Amino acid sequence: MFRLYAKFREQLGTSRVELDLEDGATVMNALGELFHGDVPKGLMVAVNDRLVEDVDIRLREGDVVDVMPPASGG
Amino acid sequence: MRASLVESIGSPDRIVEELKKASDRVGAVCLFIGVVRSTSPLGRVVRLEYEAHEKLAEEVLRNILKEVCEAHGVIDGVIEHKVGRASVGEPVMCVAVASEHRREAFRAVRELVERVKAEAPIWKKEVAETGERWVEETRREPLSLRLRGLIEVEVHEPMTARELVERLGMKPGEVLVMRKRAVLRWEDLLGEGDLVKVVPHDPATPGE
Repeated sequence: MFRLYAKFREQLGTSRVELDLEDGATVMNALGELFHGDVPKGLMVAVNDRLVEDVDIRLREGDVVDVMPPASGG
Repeated sequence: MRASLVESIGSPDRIVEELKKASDRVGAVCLFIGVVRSTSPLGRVVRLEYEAHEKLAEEVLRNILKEVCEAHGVIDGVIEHKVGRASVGEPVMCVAVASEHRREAFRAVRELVERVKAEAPIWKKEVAETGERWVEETRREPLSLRLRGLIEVEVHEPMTARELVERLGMKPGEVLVMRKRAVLRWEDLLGEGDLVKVVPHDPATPGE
């Protein structure tokens, strides 16, 4: 399951998405599908509540992936 | 040390008292408060709306606080960050540290503010009279080139090795900072007049 935050939630019109990914799909594969190939720069990704920097890691059945815009707090 | 998301920022007096209690070695408390301003490229601001990945944001805030306090040798620190709606003039972030002396307190607060804004999964939407937008922090894009040889740098003001590399527009993972043949940790503090070398680093290369 993919959870979307802030700008991404509004852009994609939903806060949660299920993607039908091939076995062995990576985070980057999923982001490509989610954003139709135009993956925004600087986004943050967490898998199962842990921030990940390597978008080439493989996803597993049941993973919860948070897709978040670059930070803009303060 | 305390880092938390809050519905409203606590009173500065209470935070100062909290930090003073950390130790009788405290000789300085330095506190930054960010407030909602009325101006924006959209025109007059009505309010800000803060959203966060609450679990991750608090974890990131705690880690930043711990790292910065250790790096600058400050005694204790507090970060409070607002979530939800905030009106013009309302405090939305408080970063405060207690230290023995003022210098490390100023440095720590500055680094904390910058890192909170850049790293914590918190986002703000500006709602103005004429429209609304998700705010995007303007940051320098990473260089589209790679350092091939070392460069020598003379430091003119105190900063950590991480700050030096980032000010040069590089990423810590791409280079190493060396002082007198010793590889520095990212939290190591450089002093005025220090001579350091910034050298290319490929983490995939064994032995480096």
